[in-house]
Amino acid sequence: MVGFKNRYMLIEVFLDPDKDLLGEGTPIILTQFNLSKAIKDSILVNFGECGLGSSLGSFQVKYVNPITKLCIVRSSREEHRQVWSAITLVKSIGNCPVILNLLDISGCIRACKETALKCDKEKFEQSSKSLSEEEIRQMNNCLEKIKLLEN
Amino acid sequence: MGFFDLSLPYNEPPRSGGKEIAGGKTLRLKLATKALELGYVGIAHNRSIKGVMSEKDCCTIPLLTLGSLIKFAPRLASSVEFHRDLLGVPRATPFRQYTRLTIHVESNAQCQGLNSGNPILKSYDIVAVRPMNQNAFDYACEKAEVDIISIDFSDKMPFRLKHPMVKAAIQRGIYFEIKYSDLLMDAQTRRQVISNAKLLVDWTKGKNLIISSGAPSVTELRGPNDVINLMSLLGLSTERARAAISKNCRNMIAKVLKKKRFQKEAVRVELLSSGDTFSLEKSLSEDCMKWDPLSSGEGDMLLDDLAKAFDAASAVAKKSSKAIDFTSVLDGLPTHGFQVKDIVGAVPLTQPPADKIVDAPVHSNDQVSELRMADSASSDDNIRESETVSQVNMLISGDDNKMEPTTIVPLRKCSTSQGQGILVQNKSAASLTLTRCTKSDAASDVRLHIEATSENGSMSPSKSGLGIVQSPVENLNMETIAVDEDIKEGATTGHVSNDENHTAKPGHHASTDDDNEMKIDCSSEANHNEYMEVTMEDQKHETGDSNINLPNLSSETTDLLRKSGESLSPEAVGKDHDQVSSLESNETELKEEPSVPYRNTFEITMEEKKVEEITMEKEGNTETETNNQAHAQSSERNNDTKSGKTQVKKSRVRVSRLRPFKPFLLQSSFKRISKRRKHRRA
Repeated sequence: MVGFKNRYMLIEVFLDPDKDLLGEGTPIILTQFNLSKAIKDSILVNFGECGLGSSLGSFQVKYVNPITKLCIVRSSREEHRQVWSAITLVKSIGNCPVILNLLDISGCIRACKETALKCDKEKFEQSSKSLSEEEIRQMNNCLEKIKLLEN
Repeated sequence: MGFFDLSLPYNEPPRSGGKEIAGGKTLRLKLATKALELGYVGIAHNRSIKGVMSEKDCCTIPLLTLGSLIKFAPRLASSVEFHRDLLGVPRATPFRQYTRLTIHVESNAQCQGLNSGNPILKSYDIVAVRPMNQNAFDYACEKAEVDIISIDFSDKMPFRLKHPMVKAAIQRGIYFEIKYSDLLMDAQTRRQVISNAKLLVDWTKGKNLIISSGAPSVTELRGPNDVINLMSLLGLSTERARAAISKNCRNMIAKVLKKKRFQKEAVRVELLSSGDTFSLEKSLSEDCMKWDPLSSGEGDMLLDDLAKAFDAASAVAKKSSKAIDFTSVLDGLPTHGFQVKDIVGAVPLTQPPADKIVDAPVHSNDQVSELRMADSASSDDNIRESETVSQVNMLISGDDNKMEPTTIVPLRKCSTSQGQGILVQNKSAASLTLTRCTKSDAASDVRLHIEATSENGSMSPSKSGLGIVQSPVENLNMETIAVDEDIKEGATTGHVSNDENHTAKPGHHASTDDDNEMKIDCSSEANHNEYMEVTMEDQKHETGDSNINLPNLSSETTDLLRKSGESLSPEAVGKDHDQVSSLESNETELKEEPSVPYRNTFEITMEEKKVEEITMEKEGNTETETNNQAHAQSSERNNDTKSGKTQVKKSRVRVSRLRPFKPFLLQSSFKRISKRRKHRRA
């Protein structure tokens, strides 16, 4: 038994859902930095400094795939409901309106990794027609990255 | 389980043009598309009106068509399937559309308009009211003929919520609505909504509560799981929030449509064109079977059609080469233990074999993640489950006199109203002849079963079980129990077995008759599952503890049992097997218990074991069937946990089957387990 537990949330991002419904164009490039900033802002607004402070300890955006727009967010088990609520309440990243939709939540990175790969696959196949070589290379990089994820 | 979003705004087109402006139309399309994509299975187009109703407020909402959705979002089908799989919603679930009217009510005159005879209200599927002052709210709760009371929480409330009013509304079956789009607005509104809605949530306790989006734009829509979690901000637990977004909506729609389509909620009313001739020869039952309680008649979209339409639209562009071979990527991952794989192995794969390797973890993950999503703290499930187990154990290991009244009630209820799971037991019980009884409670248990059947046989099946509970037969039973207790072990309980022979005959007949009805009964509510659990457990202990042999077991019964066992779907059996593997740890634990020979040595013959096996299997199968149905039909979160529990229990029953000849659980071990549980709870 470990005393400290994490939760890993697999989140799907719909960028600018008002314009195009299935993420055809990309108005901004999704990065770990801008996503974590948006979520932290939301925590601060909704749960205050205390909420932010208690959740910051383990909060981390572990993985972001800019092609399929999937990301993995880690949070401690105690605060994960709070963080999840804050994620739901995120309305925009930068200037771009977004919908963050939680796909899966799991207790270990391994299970999350597996689900993420599966979802990556499905979403990639949905959008693989219009991708350039460069993007496919990027996708491969992401897949490599996901395999190396630890804790 | 399917999720509903019962308020997507519909903006009335300007009167002059008569045609919807382009913006409004596309907004509606966008909202519907997004809702479909996020995994919702039903939406309602909501039109709100202020002021006095007039003729032109009749329902003119054109429902969206499949083609328009496809045109709008060409890759919709695959995305929808993807999200539905993750949510555990069956892919084939049709996407339903309803029309809804929300009336802002201020004056008394408007209140009076909300009666059942109003033709304008009748033209909509769902009627909601938004009270703007205290009078209107009181009237809406107590008298108005509406389905939903939708309160605007985003501002300072123009009236006070009163507990008696809320209670009255719930009693009348009116639902309250909370719109979560207000929560997403800005900090000020959010504060207001949380403080106001908390009171309502507190008073309704999640009962008769509906959560909908009310999203003014696509950005305000959220996925079902996110909404469920968001409701924790209002103090609504996960289960209740889940019910509020799925089960409650479903119930409300079913009720409303029943009211709309049926005369006195029993006789279906249909428009018959003059050309049709009505003939009695035409089978009406077929028509009745097709009846779908949730369908609003038009506006249902099947995903199959969606996929087909999509295929037709992009038949050329279909062939795309895979840029990345995911199979290799997945193969590169380390394997994770056996249990998951075992489960996967037993699940019938519908995918082509080439994709097997890729899909295998997919299936398992679905199951696992579903569980997790259902209750995000994964340990909670286990705790609850163990609690119920310990409850049952306590019941059995506890005082005999205490136990009897608690178990009798569910027995009766089950046998009269449900008539399936219990019937199997009855059959076996009826065919058993009790020669010796070491444990008095076991004897009385068997007797009880028989009593239940005989009553079943003599009374009409439609009679509800509640009245019977207090019948004199029960008193008689209690007397015999007392007698049994006096006559200790080894003594042949002559008059019990006599009685049994006496009652076995009618009981047997009743059960065979009812066997035919079983198929139909299968669809009965899953609520009874919990009763069946208890009785099942009883049966188990009884067979384990007591000395029962079957000298005059009628071969007829066994044949019957076997037949019905075979006739059940193999799928259900396969599912059953999955559960066994996951409980292997339990089993081993049980195995290690010291198996004291007790008094019942090995008089339990092979024959009996066989019967037991068959009955167990049948029980399991019928249960899985009902579970499946419950799963497919009802979106009730509670049911889900219940069915999960029954599955676990079922596999516990299986455990006994795996080890013939061993009295698998003895009184002593039960006491130990229950003691342990008690200890943990303390």
